[in-house]
Amino acid sequence: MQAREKVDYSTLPVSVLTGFLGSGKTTLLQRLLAGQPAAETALLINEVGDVGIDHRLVSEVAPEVRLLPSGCVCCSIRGELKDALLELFTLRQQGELPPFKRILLETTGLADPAPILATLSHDSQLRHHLKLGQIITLVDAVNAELQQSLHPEWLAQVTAADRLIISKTDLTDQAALAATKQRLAGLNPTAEQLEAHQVIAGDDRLFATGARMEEDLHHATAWQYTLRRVANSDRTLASDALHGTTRTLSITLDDPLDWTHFGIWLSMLLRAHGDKVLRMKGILNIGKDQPPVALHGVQHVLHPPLHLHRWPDNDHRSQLVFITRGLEPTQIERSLTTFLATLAT
Amino acid sequence: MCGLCGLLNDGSHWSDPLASTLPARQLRYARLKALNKVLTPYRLKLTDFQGSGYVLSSLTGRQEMVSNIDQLWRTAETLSGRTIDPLDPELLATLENHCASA
Repeated sequence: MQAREKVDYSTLPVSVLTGFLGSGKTTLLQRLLAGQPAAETALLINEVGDVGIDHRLVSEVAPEVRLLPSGCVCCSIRGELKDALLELFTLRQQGELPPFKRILLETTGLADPAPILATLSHDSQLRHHLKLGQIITLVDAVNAELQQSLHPEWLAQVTAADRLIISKTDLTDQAALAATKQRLAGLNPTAEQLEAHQVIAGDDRLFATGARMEEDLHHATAWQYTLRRVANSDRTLASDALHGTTRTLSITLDDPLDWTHFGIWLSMLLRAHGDKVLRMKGILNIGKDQPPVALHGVQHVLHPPLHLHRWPDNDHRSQLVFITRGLEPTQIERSLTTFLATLAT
Repeated sequence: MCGLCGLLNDGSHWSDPLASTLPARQLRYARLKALNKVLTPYRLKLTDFQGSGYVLSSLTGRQEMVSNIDQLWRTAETLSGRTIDPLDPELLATLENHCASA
């Protein structure tokens, strides 16, 4: 009973660490969690295979580690993911686990992050207790090109990321590294890039709950900065020859938009083409004197819109970025403008 | 679940109206009107049901209840026998004509 009285009931951030097989996720975890105050981070590890090697490697630095036993988290065991998350949360609330501040989920190298996000966002039990933190994707600088060409999961992981961490930079030359960074920026211009050796123990950049969680001016500025950066580059970027059909579209709308009309259009688009909309991000002006609304989605999964406190500056235009595969950007823009004009009449 | 009519409510959807100065019922009808503009080219009609759900009807009299917008698009595809695609040039042309004649 005593323990219960001390428990706080705030929702906990769940950050997702993903990256292709052998990209160095466990090494990064060890470095990130080393020297951290004990019991601040609960770790959930998903591995393919019977023996949880990663589990053993990190258990020294993260005593609250839990292992998801049966294979890939992306499809077959979403029920187990839910159960494991709820178990962690319940034990914390009951005082049987320390009151950790965050959960870190390390996925298998083959996982597509979208179903994980769907589980967190749509499950009626989970969404009241947990919120999505950052999606951190590790990219192996040496093998990035090969993985990109061979494995569709690699692309899903890269495009879903809030932060891209490039590992094994010491094993590649500067020119190749620069090319990899440029290619990644083409595939996901909204993600910030970091080299793995720059990550320090308890790195705030990775432990911060992410823009979508916060509502202060600083984060509104971050949202706008990212979206403007994309808007100021070529409005419709093709990524590269390997994924010639991966395109980035940036749309700026001068006038405030009707949220209901926009919601109708976007829900239709994600229903029909969610598998081709790898990533979307936007800051919307939904009316005069209204605070901005931030939107963010991966494939079919859109997170609940987030009300930011206020606009960071005098530019109150809506900005949207879509990273698509196999969709023509001009089609999306024409469709949006047609819907908004028609539904407003 | 609604205790009176036994309808299941599957919770909020991201596209639900955000904070507004308009009463909830007015927002609901404004949304219904906008949805019907999109559904008309598919020969479908959406009507309110008890302020908690919707009924989607086809011209042949087939009816289905829907409770949220994701379910609406799925059901619309079933009743119309067509793919509901906002990028469909034919749909966009119809909407543009509607806009021009309004």
